[in-house]
Amino acid sequence: MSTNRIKSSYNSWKAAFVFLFPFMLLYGFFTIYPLFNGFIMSFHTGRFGIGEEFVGLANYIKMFSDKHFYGALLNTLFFVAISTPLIVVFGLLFAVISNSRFKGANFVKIATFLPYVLSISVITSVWVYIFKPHIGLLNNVLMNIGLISEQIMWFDNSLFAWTTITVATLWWTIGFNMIILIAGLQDIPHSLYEASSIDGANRLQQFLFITLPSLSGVLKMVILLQVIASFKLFGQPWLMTGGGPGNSTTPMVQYIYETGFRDWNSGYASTLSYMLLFIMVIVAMIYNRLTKEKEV
Amino acid sequence: MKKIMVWLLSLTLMMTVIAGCSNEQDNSNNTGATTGDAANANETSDTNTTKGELVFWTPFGGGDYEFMKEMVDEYNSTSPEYTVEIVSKAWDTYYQGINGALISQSGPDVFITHQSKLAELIPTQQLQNIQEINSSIDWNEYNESQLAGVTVDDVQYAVPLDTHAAVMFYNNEILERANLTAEDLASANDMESWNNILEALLPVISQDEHVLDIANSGANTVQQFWSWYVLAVQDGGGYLEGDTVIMNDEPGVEALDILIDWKEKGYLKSGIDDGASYDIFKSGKAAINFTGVWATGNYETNPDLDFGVMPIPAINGQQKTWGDSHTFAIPSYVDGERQEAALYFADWINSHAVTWAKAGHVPAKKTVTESEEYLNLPYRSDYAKVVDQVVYYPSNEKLWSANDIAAKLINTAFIGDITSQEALDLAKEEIEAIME
Amino acid sequence: MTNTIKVKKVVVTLLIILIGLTMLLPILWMLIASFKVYETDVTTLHGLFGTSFTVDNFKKIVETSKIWRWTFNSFFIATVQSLVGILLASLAAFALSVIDFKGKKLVYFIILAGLMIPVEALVIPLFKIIIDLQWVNTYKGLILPGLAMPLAVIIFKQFYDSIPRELIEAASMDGASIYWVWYKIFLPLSGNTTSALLIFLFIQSWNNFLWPLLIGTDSSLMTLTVALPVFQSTFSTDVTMPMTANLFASVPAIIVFLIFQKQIVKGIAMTGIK
Repeated sequence: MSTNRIKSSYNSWKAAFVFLFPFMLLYGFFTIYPLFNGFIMSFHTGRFGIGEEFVGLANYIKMFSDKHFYGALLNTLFFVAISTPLIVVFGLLFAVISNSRFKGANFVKIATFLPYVLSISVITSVWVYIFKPHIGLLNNVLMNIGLISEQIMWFDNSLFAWTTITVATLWWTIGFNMIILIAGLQDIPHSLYEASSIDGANRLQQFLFITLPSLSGVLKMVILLQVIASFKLFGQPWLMTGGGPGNSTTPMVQYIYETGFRDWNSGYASTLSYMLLFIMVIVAMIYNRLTKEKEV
Repeated sequence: MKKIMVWLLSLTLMMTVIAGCSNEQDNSNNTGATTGDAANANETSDTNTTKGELVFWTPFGGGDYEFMKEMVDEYNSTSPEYTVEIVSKAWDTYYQGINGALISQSGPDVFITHQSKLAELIPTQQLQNIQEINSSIDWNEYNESQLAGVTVDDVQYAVPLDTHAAVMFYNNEILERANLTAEDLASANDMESWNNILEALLPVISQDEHVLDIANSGANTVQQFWSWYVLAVQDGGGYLEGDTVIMNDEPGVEALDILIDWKEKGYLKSGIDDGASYDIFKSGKAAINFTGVWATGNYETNPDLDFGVMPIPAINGQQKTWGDSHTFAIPSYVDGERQEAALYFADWINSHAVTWAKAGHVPAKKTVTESEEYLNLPYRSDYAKVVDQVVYYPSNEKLWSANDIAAKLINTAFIGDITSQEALDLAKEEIEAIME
Repeated sequence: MTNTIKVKKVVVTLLIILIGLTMLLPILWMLIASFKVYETDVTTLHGLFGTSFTVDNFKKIVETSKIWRWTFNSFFIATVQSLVGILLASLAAFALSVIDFKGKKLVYFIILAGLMIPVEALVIPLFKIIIDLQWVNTYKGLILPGLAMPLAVIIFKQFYDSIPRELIEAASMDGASIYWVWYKIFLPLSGNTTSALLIFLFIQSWNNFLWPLLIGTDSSLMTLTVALPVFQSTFSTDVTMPMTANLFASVPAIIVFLIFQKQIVKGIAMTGIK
């Protein structure tokens, strides 16, 4: 959409300033300034101003030999890798179901979408009580049906702990992606499907050769959004597993939080934050490159 | 869109009104689920004599909060120069808040801090030197070791309030089933006799009961950490020496192995989180419970629970235990007159701490712990003995971070992912890494 | 033939309803458990349906906690953040879309770049700023940092770009000020977009966890999202009270959901398209 040059009387710097000022003031002060300030902090030690000392690259060097950092980074990457496909695939599945003409379709749409408006503390609380050993829903139901004879310690085993986090996240966010994908599905012209069924294509073929390709733009975006959201993982492990057992479910953001607000090492925490930001930007850039090539 | 705006604005208005009404209840409420009287009126003194109000931050909830509030209300009813407003802050983020207040030099006028936290707070340079505040306090009334605990390099940074330690609660009814008495427990002065007791208890408990009740799962496994600590220090071992970790020495590893052994023998059940561990003992489902003295008040609320409490016996060597202290600290950014008022308030509370003793803590003033009123309280006089058995944490700026790391790794060994030696070696590595 | 198709249809419909029910199950469980008596075992069918129902838990929560205060905080903060945030974004987007000025590209680029930066990565330097301002534990500290939302600006700008420039020219010929153009032309036209974005941002603000966790440590300042876990941690083997608290905290969200479903859906679709 081109914005044609309009009357020069409106092109006053003064007007632009008035319109932009409130936003830019807050934006500059609370987004841009911290960005630079954080960068500077990453070269210092200290506790948010107390005992601040310039240490050059020391924090960065420390980070590269910090087992904890690699552990937390791997945890975050692990979560991104397992949750993204699950959430996108299920999102697509539910989008197809909700968009279909069957009677229960709208019901599914509402039921799947509802969790999205609930707060993270409600979600994690409900799922913790579902997974809790001894008094939780899942173990007791499984025991009553006879599927298990001993309590499963969902929070004492790192794989199980990740499962609880992933399931809760899945349930919470499928709805969001589903909505975007439904919009994408509805944009696909019916004529394509009609033409193909005349040609004798069955449902599966239609899905693979019409739906998926038409959705490719939307899917790419959904995947990117989901990846970014997964990188920011904090609430679910914090409230469900505490990052445990041990550090096995501690993601980067929690490590940053602990370094800054438990160990009070704000300099090193800044370093870690920058690393996270850097990695996220790289991932986004690589992703963009990859998806662009496909289109060409 | 207008519809939404109107809707939002009217809702906000409605909420403001509701919040305004509930605001009056605010001062008498806390975030815990207590049976607190919502009609608890805040005693405010005559406005003619009040110069102002001191804001007093505490991390207390539940029973602790109620007792402290009782004392604060009593203080306010004496028409002091400055009345005190007690604030119950969420425990999880308490020290974030304290650090934030100290670093930004704006926050409470007086606050509760653990003695073991002082080393972390002193570098903010916002803890007022108590000796520099005008007062007529007789420091001889205070327990010497507690005073020593709040003094670093000859500067007194806080006023002691209490000591609380890890003790052993036991269920008389379950003991009886195994023909055991409290004396049997008290005389378990070595590992063999202790294990004999545990062994005797195992067959008499039902499926949903526990021999040993120690929290070992979930986001907060601090009871397990303390239990390890007790076993380690009883054996002459330790946790930290300055900035060096010694927890992976032989006594430490053995202590952890003991906990794991208890689990494998079925005395300890896994999957018990912190909150559950209190409920389990309180509802009479555990024979023995290792936890802090503060649980006394909670357990007393169940009239059907026939329990006793004693210092943890010398299971693993000498009779030693874990403990910490609560103290009052006054920030430097508070102005002179208010500092004086705050100090006066702290000392007043300490003089009247018999009420605080009802929560299970051991008050800091000898005048209180030697008083008849205190000695007549059930169990509490035993606690005073325990205070001498406490092996305090060393003073270390990163202590609580170390505790967090240690608790996590101890838990990792407990659930069987790695061996005790591996866990404690890792703990040494990680803790020393953040100490530098 | 038609019979098999009919059967197929019924089976598929049943399957779909089953799927919907499964998704709804956790909420249904939470709902039922909140009306059960304290310490009822709500993990069995008997416990859920065979024992008495009660509203005691709700009473207890209202009496012993500051849940009204926390709900108010969440509402207040979310309302201000979404309303004021939309206002600021709309103004900024208007300038970017309609006015030509030096440095416009640079400004736009700076705002675009901000899309990638999550608050999680800025939390450390942000906290330092709040400390220096002495805004820890204040409403301003809670609200202001999140008020400038690049996402909203981008969405508004895209919409404004699609408004025909003739409207503006007509207005300028009538001697209208540029502020009038924004207020009387662009603002009303973007009603749909604005309301969708408003609801979407409201929900986002309501669900904020990390920042309120850090800044709102006073129990009278906590939002529902942050206070809920604190409140629930005082219960250990009882499941009903935590569920009641969950339900209590969810009711406003569910009401918003039912009334504003369409807008929410639109809001999500829009952020996707950005």
